[in-house]
Amino acid sequence: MIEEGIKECLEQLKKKGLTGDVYGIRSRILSYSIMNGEVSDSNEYEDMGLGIRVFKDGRVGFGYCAPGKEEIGVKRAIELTSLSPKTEMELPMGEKPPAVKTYDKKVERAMDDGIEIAQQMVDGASSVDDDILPSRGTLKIASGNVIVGNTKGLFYSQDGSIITGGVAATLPGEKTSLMASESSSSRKYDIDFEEVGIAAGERVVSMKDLAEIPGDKIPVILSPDAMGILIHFGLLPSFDGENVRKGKSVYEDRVGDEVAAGYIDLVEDPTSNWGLGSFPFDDEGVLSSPVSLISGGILDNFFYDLKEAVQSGTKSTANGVRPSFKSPPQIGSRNVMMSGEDIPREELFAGRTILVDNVMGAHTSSPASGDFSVVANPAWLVEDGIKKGRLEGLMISGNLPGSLHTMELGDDHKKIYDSIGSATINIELPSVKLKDVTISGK
Amino acid sequence: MNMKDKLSKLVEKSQAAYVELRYHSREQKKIEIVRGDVEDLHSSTYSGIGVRVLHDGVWGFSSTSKMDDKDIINTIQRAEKAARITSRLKTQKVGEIGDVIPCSGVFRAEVNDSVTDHPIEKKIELLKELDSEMRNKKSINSAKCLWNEMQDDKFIVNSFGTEVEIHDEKVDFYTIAYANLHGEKISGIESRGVTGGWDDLFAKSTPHEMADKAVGSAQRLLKAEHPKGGPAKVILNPELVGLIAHEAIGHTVEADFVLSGSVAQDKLGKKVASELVTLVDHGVADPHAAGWTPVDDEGTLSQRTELIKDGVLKGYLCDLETARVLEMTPRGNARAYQYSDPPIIRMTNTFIETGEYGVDEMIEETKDGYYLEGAKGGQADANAEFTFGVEKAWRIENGELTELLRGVSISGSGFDVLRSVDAVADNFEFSMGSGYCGKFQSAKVDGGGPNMRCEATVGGK
Repeated sequence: MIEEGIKECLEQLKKKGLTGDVYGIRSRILSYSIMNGEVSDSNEYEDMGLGIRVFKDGRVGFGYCAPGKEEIGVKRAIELTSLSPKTEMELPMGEKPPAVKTYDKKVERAMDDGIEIAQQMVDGASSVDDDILPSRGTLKIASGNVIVGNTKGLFYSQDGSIITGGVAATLPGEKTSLMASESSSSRKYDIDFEEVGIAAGERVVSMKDLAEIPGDKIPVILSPDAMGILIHFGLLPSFDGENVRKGKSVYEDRVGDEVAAGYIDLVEDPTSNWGLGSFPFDDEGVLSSPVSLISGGILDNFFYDLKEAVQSGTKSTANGVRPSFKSPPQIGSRNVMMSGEDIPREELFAGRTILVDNVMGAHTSSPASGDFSVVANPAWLVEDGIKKGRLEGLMISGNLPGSLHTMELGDDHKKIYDSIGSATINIELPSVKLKDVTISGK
Repeated sequence: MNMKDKLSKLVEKSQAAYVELRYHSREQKKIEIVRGDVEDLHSSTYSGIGVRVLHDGVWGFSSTSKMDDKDIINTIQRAEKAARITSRLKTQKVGEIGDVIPCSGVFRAEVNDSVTDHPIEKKIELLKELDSEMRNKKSINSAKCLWNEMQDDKFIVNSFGTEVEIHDEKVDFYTIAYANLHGEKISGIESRGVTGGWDDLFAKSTPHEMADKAVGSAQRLLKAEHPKGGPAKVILNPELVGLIAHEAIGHTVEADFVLSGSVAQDKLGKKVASELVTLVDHGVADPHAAGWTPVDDEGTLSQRTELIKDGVLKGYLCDLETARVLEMTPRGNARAYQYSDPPIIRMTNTFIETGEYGVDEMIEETKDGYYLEGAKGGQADANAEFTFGVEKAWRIENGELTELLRGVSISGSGFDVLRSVDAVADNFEFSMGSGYCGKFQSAKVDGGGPNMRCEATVGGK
């Protein structure tokens, strides 16, 4: 139905002598909610639609519609072209896409067992301590098909799947309830969801004892989840090609400079098999290939979509992304991977450190400077890898681009898939030790 | 046959104990002008039907964008199947969902000069003019203007005999001026969001006055310093009071979070705030507040909910199910953003009621503290721990506003902050209408109150 819809839109554009591209998605999504200790309710729906981008007299218009309503969608997109500024952009020609593994049929089959899978998280969390209530959680299983076509004859189609689950475990505390969560996502059906529940349970149990916030400056280790959120808001905006061109990035005019410790690599690789944001082409039909952002500490490249590539005099890096078929493409990261020395856990946690498992307020980080000031919760004082007590009311602040020069990276790589507001966070990275963070609190 | 009659007929096709069919059509236009260019321009219409059933004590939900009887019946069956599967393991079954009074009627937003009567070309022209005006001012090197309008038509029918028709119009508008200080981007923001039309959106300030204010803020902040961090006496403006009411307190008293162990669990009837604080949620508190919700998506009429009365926790926000569990009355807080979303417990317009202090009097009495104005996003958890960005902060020294500060954030525990309130002003404003709440799905909400003096942790660079 999507395929026919895209062909119909392109046919209508060609008949009118116009150029353009069409993005179509059909996905089946099944979700289960966990509430108050059990799997509570479910929601199954199909998301389907077409996003149409039209070029007329050098101006671009965008509209969207459901399959079967192509005429309305195309008409609306054409109407908006007259109101848009001149936009230079060259649509790509069709080539052979790279082979990237993004679909596991076992994920689709798992939809039939969704309730049992969600129950595994509940059972896992409950098994840690009789007083634990798996208070909230979600299991989401999705599979579908994305097609991008354009009037130059490009027509790509690829299936994708994802299974993501998380649970929050609650324990009654003295003043307030203690709560900790764990989540895991994969394009393959390879997650042990009972272990996800157990991790949430063990985490909340470790929050029972309190410790004093240290008065001296000690290293702070951010879990992959906490660091992933900070990087998304405090570092990746500086790699947006448009921000760089407009002087809103700390990396303006710095390609070739040493911007991180020599062991740090930051790569955008949507061709990595089973990467959560991997796909053989972006949402404008540009073929994916690995893009080195930082290699051995040296600044290499930025993110570009088709429009910004023209403005910046370069090529698209296949970073034209759409939050949904209802949005035109915009620059965005897809499958960022951060790697370093892979320091073993016992070495990373040697001595006195603070472990931060989640942060609040990362969206208030300065996208231009990378300055951040966030609430760290939950966080613990740790001595030689052993949690000595939870730190209540801890705030940490610092500068992320500056920290790249001294940070140390662990070996516990994790694929982070999260959303805060309208932002989708999609990064693979390990725990990270920051040595130049200011800590404060009650 | 019209859509409402069609849905009423199809409700009878389900075997479930309770069925709710919701048709929702949305017309949306979005314009974004950045440095003189049209950066984003959308115009869209989409519609569909959300189906929720209660079957064997379990909820099932499904949705469709296809409107044929056959498709709708298939969607009802999918929702029933989803409920049947979940019921295999669920032990805490939803019982009867109470003596619900069927609601019927047609509800229309009060719209003065509908934005649909203003051509999109004129709106683009206005936004470009404002953008240009702002960029021509001293020290301003970039600007952005945003326009977002939504017209919603809904028909809700359910097994109780509810037959409701809702016609809503909401619009929000932003002017943002940017200045650059040694590579750091300084922004001045003026925004407003309402339920209503053009005259309602610009009732307090014209678009040009809003752009001027945004420019003035950015220019003044260029000369501002960062604050020293630490606990402090702060006076919050209505926007920040609304943000505390919504983000730090409101979410903890949503019944789904309460049942999941939020900090407000077991606090009913207990003193949780200063006796100066009365905190309310009300879907029709003001016809032009952005969270105007005359009837929720379960078909429940909006009623005023006093969550905190004179410092004592009095109630929670419920839907049909949790109202029964907690033995409360549902008051119109089950909302769905679009047809493909199931209704979940949401706030509408959440605010703290006025007190008796004059704002000047409040400042004059403060020897050492901060006057905080404007919110730049916030986040809170189930324990009411929050952190908010603040647009502008003035140092208060010996009863006078002195130094302007930038890069300020505040954090704390929402209930601790409310316990520390020692003055509530006699002014009032809904001023959160340009924002959205993002609990699992979007929702247009509003919030506000009077100026309020309390204690919180001020964070800076």
